[in-house]
Amino acid sequence: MAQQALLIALFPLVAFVIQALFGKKLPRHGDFVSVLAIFGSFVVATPIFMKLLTDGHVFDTFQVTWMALPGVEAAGKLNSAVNVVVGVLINNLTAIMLFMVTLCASLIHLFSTGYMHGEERYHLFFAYISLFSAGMLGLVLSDNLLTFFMCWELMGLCSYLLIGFYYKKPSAINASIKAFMTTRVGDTMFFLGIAGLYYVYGTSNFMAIYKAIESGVASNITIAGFPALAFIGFMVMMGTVGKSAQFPLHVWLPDAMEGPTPVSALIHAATMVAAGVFLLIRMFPLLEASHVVLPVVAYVGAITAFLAACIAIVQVDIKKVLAYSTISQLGYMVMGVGVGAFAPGFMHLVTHACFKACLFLCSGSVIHSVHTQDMREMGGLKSKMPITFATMFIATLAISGVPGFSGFVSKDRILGGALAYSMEHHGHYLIPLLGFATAGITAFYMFRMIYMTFFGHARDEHKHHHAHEQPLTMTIPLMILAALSFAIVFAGPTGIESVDHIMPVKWFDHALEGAQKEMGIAEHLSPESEAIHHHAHGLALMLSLAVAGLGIFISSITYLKHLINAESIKRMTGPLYTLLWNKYYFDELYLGVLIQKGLLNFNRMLAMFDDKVVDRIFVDGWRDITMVVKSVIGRFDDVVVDRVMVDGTADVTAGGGWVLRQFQTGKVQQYLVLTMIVIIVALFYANLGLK
Amino acid sequence: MNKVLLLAEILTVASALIVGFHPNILYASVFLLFTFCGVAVMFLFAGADFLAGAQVIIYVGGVTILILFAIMLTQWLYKIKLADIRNKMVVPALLSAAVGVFLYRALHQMVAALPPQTPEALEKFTATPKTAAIGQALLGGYLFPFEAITILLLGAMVGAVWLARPE
Amino acid sequence: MNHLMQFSSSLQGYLAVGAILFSLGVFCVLTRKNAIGILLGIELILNAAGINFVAFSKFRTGLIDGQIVALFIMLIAAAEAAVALAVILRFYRLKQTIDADEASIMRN
Repeated sequence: MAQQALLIALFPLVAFVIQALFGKKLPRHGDFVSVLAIFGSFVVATPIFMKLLTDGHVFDTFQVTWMALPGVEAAGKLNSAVNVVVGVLINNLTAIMLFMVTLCASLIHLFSTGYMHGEERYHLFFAYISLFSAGMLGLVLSDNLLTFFMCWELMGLCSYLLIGFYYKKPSAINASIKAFMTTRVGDTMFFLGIAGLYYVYGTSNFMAIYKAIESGVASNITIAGFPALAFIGFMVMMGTVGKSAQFPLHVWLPDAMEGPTPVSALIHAATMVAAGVFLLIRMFPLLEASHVVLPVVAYVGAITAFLAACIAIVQVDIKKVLAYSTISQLGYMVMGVGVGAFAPGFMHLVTHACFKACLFLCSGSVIHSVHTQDMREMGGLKSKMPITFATMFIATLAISGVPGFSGFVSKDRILGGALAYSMEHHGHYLIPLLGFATAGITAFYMFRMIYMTFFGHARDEHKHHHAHEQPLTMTIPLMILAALSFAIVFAGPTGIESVDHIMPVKWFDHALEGAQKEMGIAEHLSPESEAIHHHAHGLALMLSLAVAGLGIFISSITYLKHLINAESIKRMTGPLYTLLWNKYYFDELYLGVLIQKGLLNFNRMLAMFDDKVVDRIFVDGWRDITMVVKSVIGRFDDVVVDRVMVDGTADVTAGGGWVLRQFQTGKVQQYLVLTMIVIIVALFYANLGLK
Repeated sequence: MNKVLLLAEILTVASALIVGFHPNILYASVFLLFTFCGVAVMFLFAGADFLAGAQVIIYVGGVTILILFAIMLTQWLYKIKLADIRNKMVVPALLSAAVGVFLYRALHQMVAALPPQTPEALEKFTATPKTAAIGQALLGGYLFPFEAITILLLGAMVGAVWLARPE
Repeated sequence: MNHLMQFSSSLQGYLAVGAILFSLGVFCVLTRKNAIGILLGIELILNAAGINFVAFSKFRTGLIDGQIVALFIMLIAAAEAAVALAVILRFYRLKQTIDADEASIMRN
């Protein structure tokens, strides 16, 4: 099974090669190659997922030794010789991720054939998203952090290429560079973390790490004075922070919306940014064992969720709203992992992927129809684009946490986990507080977006007039993704546990339980904490329903009924509005302080060092020494080598040639005379010998 | 019979002398023919009947005629007489004499080294016809050199024709 | 006379004739200006070699191998004569002479 699963990543890779080399010459610029490849991956991934559904458990690995590095001793003495073994790990998490990613990617590929139709560099677009899919699927399949990291970087590259796809737009170029450089900060730290893992355990294989952590190997090793596990955990977290656009490295994701909308859906909502969370989930046992990292993770997630949600309120660009909501939701997932609500965090990853892909594709459909991203120029599109409206509305209900939809299930559980966490520790109250606030704000701005886009009167008659529903290749993906936004797909009919145990459809929970057992983090709650959890989840249910309802209510009276004038509120909260509008001045902070004051001065200092120390002393000094040595060697060369050896050899050869040339008279008979003389001499000696 | 052999040897050596010393190449060529004939008779007395025949056919009938044709094709006869032999003959004479003497001496040593045949065996060897035996040997143990020689001959013929072709 | 006849029919007699032919051939090759003359000398040398083979074949080994080698020498001589004469004709056409000294493009 694991070997066949490798095909899942190989199909898009082959499609990439074909597209990159021959795409332009193929009919339809070869889009069918990429689409068929990703559908092929989907077809291969489906049986694995089906096996999970029927058996409730899948596990298979397949490994090959890539490099054998003898003589490297790992501090934890797990392996004395480091064999870099790479392979494929199929378990419950992998099966769910594979299915989710291939499904989303397939639908987005299909959508792209419509959305990108007629664009310049159409074949390259498909080449890039095929490569991206290969990277993501390879990452999911990896059983070790090394190949995981390689695929991770591959996706970073694809993200860069796709954000800058409209390479004639300066803003797109800048956005692509910004995304690449920002994620680089996280990636570098992540790589240090992998190095630390090799130092401590001599491996980066997930299963080996789980086993080692469970047995407590190397729990007291330190790296540079820090506890090794905390160091690694922190570095891994920074990888996530970069990739999943968490505070403080979240600034790249909104700018990444410069890319084509299907890319935003695929990379910057459904899959790549989720890879960061997936990393946290894969490394959860290590984070847990390090004790100090998880609270940091929780705070990072909570702060990110809240800050991004606040910014989303004031955005007018439909894609920017979705971008900030993505950051916010990713913050939820990270927070969930941080508070130990591991299963809900992963669940939110999957549910979010589906409804966020749907939202993005819907926004793409709208943008494609009205040719603007500014919501102030939309409005009243409900009747013009009924399918887009319906699907987007369903997805909005899901993200807002309305019962019966998938987002409610996962988000409620994360919030419940956060609440239980703070109740259990009698502190950290900020985390659930920010979480609930974010839930309300999310509901508010999402409905604001729906109302501004689809309801009310048309604010731009011309654009409204030209709006139209999209062809089936674009609406079918929307419908499928919208269908996946219902809670019943992942949990019981409503997602409310107390209601649903009458009719449990709990494949997801079973799968996650199996995964947790595998990772050695199965929960063993004491009766007291069991009670706390039960209590917290009940409370969280009430609270989240309340805040979501409140958010939707305020949004409705403001943007649907216009009972409250949004403009006057904007004026009333002037400075706050400005702060949000400028996204808390993060960009200015980074550009002004970090880069211009810090980095550039540091660079200048380095340049000075180069100039004064390296150039003057080392380079020039070397030059002087070299000059002296050069003249000595030069003299030697001149006299001994050139005169005596080279010229001497030439003279001897030329002289010998002259002597020999004298025999070459060109007269046959003279040659024969010489031959005869030689024969006579030979015969003479032969006669002597015989006598 | 020894008289005939002696005469043949005298003929061979005498005509060879003329070949070596006569300034006119035409004469030299004609006397080369007599040398070949003398050698053929010597072959006959050495029990090489087939070889004697071949000698007559190839050398007398082929090579000599070829040489005569070449002379007639390349030169006016009257030009040849004076201009053929070089004036400096001392060194070549000394050299060739020395080569001959040393060669004879070297071969003489070999004569002593190998066991001689009995007179009866010599008689029998001379009396036996060799054609059949040579044919057997050529298509038997000597097949490979024989085939090589045929290919050499073919190549030489083609090469000669190609070289001598008109422009 | 009898002595001479005895010698002539012995192996030494054959070898003597061969040696004389050989040295005359060498002399001919060395002294002739004419390319055809050189060819004559070569033919003499080859015949000398053939005589030696045949003589040893009869007087010492008693086998026909020497004759076969002599036959091969003959054939090679024929081939050599044909090619040499073709070369001479060609050379004559090129330089209007067959003086061997003229064939010295490769000098020095």
